[in-house]
Amino acid sequence: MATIIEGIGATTSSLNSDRFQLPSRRSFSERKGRFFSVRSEGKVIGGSRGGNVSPLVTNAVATKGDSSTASTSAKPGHEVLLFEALREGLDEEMMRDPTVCVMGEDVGHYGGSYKVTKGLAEKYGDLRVLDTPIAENSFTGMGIGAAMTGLRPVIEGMNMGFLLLAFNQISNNCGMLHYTSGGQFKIPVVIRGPGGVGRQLGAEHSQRLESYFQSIPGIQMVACSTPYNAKGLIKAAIRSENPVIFFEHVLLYNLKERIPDEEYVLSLEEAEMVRPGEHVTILTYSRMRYHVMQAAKTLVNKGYDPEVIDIRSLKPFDLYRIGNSVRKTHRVLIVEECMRTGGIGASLTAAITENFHDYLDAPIVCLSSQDVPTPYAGTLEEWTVVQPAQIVTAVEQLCASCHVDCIDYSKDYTWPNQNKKLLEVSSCNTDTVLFSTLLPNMDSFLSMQTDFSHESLVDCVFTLDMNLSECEPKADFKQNKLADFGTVAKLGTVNSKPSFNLNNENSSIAHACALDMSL
Amino acid sequence: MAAYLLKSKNLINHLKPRIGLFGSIVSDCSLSSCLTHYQKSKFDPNLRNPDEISRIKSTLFVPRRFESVRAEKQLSSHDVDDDEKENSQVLEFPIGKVTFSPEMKFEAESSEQCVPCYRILDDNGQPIAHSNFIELSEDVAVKMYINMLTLQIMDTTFYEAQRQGRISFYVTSTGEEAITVASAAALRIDDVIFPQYREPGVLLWRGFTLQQFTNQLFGNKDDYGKGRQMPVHIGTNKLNYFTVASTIATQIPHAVGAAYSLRMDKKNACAVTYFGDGGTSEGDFHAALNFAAVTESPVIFICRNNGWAISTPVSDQFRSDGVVVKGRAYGVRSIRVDGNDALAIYNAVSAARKMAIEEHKPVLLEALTYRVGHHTTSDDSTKYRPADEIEFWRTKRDPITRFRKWVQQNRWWSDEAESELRNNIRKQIVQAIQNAERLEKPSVTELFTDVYDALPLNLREQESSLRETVRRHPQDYPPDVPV
Repeated sequence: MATIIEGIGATTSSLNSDRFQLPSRRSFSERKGRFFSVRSEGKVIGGSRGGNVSPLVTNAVATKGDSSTASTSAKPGHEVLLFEALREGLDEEMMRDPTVCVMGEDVGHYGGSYKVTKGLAEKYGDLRVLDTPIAENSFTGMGIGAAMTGLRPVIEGMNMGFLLLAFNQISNNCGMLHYTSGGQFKIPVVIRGPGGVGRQLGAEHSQRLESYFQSIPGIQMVACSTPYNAKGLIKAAIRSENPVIFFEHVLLYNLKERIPDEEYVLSLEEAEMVRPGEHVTILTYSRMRYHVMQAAKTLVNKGYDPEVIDIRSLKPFDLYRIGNSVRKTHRVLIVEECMRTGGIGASLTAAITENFHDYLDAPIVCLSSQDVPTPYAGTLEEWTVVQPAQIVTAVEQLCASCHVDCIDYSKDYTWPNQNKKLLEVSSCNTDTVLFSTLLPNMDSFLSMQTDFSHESLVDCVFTLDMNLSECEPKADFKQNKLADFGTVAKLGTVNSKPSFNLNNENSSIAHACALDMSL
Repeated sequence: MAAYLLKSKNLINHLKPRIGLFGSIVSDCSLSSCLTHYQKSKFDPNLRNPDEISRIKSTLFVPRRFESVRAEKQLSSHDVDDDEKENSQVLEFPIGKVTFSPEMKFEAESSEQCVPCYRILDDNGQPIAHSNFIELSEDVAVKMYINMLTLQIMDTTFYEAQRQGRISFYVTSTGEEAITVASAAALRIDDVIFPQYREPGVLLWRGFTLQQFTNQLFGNKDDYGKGRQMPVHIGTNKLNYFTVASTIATQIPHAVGAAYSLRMDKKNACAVTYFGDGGTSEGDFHAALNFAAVTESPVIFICRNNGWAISTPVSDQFRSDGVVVKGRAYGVRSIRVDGNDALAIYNAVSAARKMAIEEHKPVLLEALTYRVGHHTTSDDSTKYRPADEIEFWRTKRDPITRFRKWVQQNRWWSDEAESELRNNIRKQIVQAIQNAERLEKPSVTELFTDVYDALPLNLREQESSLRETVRRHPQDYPPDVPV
């Protein structure tokens, strides 16, 4: 589009991508994305900003310094394992706020089953790091009572599955008491623990409780996946006034990463962009992030450019970032460890479909575990969890089918700074998208640019209807400028709606209006 | 039993004299032969032989993990040797020092006599002779009486109001007024209360007005709970009374947590929780008592044993001697009190409070009483219990009449004051109802606030969607709820 516009106008300003921003339902995104993408069968999606085709990100893993093999001593920060990062976060918060306390089974002198609370009992005393008897419902209740009277307990479930016993307290009291008391009593607890499928832990210890908790009103849920976000999120969770359920994964505790020395707190409601891409949005969280990144390596070698987002916030979903991604890539793949029925993926599918249906080129694909209890046998267990090979296949299938149904940008586009409607889709079919635009003046039109690359327009036709009654025509508008990007079929007025039509040699004209260029 | 002793004696004669606990065992072989004999003959038909069984039985209770066990076994056999020195040997197990006994004695499931019940006033409101109690001052006694009577009149009036359709639901405390008011009188305002739902008496004592009660019942905009909870499920942080949840016994661990918090802050206050006899069957009750003992938290557990859990009598609820004996099981000090004796409750709770705060010990208090009213307005208790039984407890065992006799005897109260108070309260309540009915309900905004500290995106969307619906169909929307 950039080349096209440059061809038309007398003034050819290069794309100022600020002015032509990706539509957003509620506000402008700071993300500079594509204007639209139309693909024909089998073509890899191209397109870029500003007329330049940016190279595909070949580095599949785009996390902070993870893949770097440079010497560690020269780099800032310090290396930690995930459980150590959690401990650091807990330690810093307990130091900072004397009301923070920890309670759970074996968290005190034993240091916790996964060593997350190791050393805290010695440092802060038995009263602040409390060993509880084995009664999950009751020590969760105890934590709630303590929270209502001013403490900020961090309740540890030895395994998330055990918190099923605490469901009564979590649902009926934790989630509800702030509401039913009319806001008089708040419950700033953090309920944390490892969940997910481990290595042959058996069915009862391999549960994904995020599916069961997600409906409870009044609680927030986050899932950490790297040492960096584990520390940042646990600190945020402790500081939050709402009850937060903090999901860790049994197999991720020994991940190593370099994290900053300075204090940092992450936002509980934000998703993390793991790897930006163009072709497909892969939404995932917790351990599946690593399977996805492994699959991403394979996908990149095959020529795909997946965008990987770690959603982190399981309740509420960060629909802002997810939406931006969906609008960019138009294809969504959800990879999760939950069961198929009623899992996080199921809710996320519903949320995306409800909000971004028009941007989707294909139905959302959700890869999840089967609806079976996790078997003990290693081979069976491996196949109940989504593997990278399945992810690669799913992406290939998703990208193979492409058609444009009808992209309706009319609701989203607003003229920068003027709140006037910029572009409307008048009609479209499989290979063509037609836009109509209302522009305040010819200058605006001339300086309008999109980020299409020339190739992507080979098979498309677009028509621009301009309401000239609102325009100040320029005398020097030259018809032949339009020829720079294709054959101009006809110019004239039809139905008193002046417009011009551009088409390329290889495609048919879906509908034509005309522009009286002599105005 | 005798046969067993005899056999063991034979065994012991083979053993060397007593040696140290971890010393090498010379006579190990006989014991080990005992053990291996057991292992070999586990399914031996010879097991039918009682002699074999008794010998094997002596090995059955030995944990086989550690070397020292064999020495212990040997030493215990030594005890048997000396009939005079019974229980002379004490050994350390993880649970502590345990004395051994040759007598196989099962702890009885209940003692022959029930745990006695503490009471000060007899049925006629006269102090029982030789009773030892804190004297109440006139002010406190009169205030207690006024609150108990207010509670009774309030219950009657609101029950009638519910029957007339003016409020949707109500829970009476009839018959249990003494427990809540007297216990509240013995506490301080800093003591945090975790109620079940039959404790408005505590609120009355602490100063919750009749108008505030009524507002909560009607769920109008002055309700502290913003109309979100059922009637009588009150909560107010100003009076340290935590919002009632309908779930049974979930508040008991909350109280332990709160006590833990108070202890961390070193406050001169305790946590107090109330529950009924039915609530003691819930798992939360047991774990909470256990926790309180282990964490040495200053909690007072007050059980209103009123004999009925909706339609379940206590004989179907538990087979123990009430609730007081359960304290022992968890290492919690406990007492049984006559729940219809306001003075006894006052004294017991005062003492319990002192113990809890000064000694960091949880205390269990079982208040025996009778639930005169129905479970709630959704219940008709004549369906499962005889009407004359209810009548008996309502009249002959009424705690308020009993206390009144004592107060009047001290010349702190009179019949005139009584009738004046009755009229007064009745008028106040009627007025309160009228005021409450007139007030608006909370606005629709309050449907979405306080779920979280700030309104998240999905709730904002849902709220605007609801408002849109209301705007489109105003005729379907109740007129007295502001938007």
